[in-house]
Amino acid sequence: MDAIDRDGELMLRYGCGDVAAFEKLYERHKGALYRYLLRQVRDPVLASDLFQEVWSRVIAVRNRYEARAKFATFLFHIAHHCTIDQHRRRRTAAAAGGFDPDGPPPPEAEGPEHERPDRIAEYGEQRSALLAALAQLPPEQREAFLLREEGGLGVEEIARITHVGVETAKSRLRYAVRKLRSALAETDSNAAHQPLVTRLRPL
Amino acid sequence: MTLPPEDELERYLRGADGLSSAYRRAARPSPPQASERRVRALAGLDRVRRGVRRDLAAYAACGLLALAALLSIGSGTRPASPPGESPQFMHAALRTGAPDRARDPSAWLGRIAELRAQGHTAAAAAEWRRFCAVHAGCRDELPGHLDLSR
Repeated sequence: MDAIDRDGELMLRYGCGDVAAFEKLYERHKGALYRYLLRQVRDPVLASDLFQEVWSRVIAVRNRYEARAKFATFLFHIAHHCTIDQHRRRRTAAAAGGFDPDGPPPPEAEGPEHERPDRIAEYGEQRSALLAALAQLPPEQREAFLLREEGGLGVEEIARITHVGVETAKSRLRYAVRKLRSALAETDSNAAHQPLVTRLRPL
Repeated sequence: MTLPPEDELERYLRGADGLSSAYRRAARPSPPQASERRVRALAGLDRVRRGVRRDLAAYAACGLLALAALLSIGSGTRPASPPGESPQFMHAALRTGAPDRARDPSAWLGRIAELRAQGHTAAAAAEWRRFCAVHAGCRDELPGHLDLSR
């Protein structure tokens, strides 16, 4: 039995009352789900709220769950819808409050500490360049990349979750990959052209 | 004839272009603990933990009670009982080397009669109840042929 079936089986067992099965499932997917949400909404507080909302929906439907697809597809499908619902709520609030929901997040909510500009140097230039490039992608391209990387999903599953055709999903992923690779290559190139003395660590 | 260059998406999906590994090397934040606690509470995981703690507390309490009972028996702090009713005797009378179902009924009845004959009425009655729990068709009272005091 592969990992896909194991996750589905764990969910079915949880539906029958086996709470330990949920714990295994949760441990396996919590990090990926959180990173998907955090990098989609770019606001840790909002990401935490959505994280709880997604799991609460999973828990609510445990008795009706049917293992018709990979558990990750099921989980990220819920996450996708929670993110869209949240965006709509922000748009409604923006209409009432006069701020731009698509604008940059407020400074205090740009991301967790390791993604803040003042701390980014600690985490390596290439890593931050990649995450910065990811943050700059259009939302649908970023989502396609995150569903692939964090959810481990294939192009067909990404298409199903985002309600687009397979070719559209492929195109989004292709653009995302091209931009991210070019950001990485640029970082490598800059590092190679730095004077040797600045690249050497002090003894 | 030359093959067309491999599509960059296919290379990426095969994990051959290093982008996935670069992403995996990037920071991998975890959900905040407060969120984790709420999800666990929703899922019932905290109830399981509390249940385990409750069980452990119950086992500990049982152990302490048993220890206290043994100590009080050993030190004789309980009020004096008639010779046949003393806790030590009851314990000895009830102790059997084998499960009740495996005991020889004739020998068991003989033991009950013996207890009765020695004046240990409460112990005899307790043994009789145990005998009846295993063998159907008993009455609650000790049968007359075992009641040697009559």
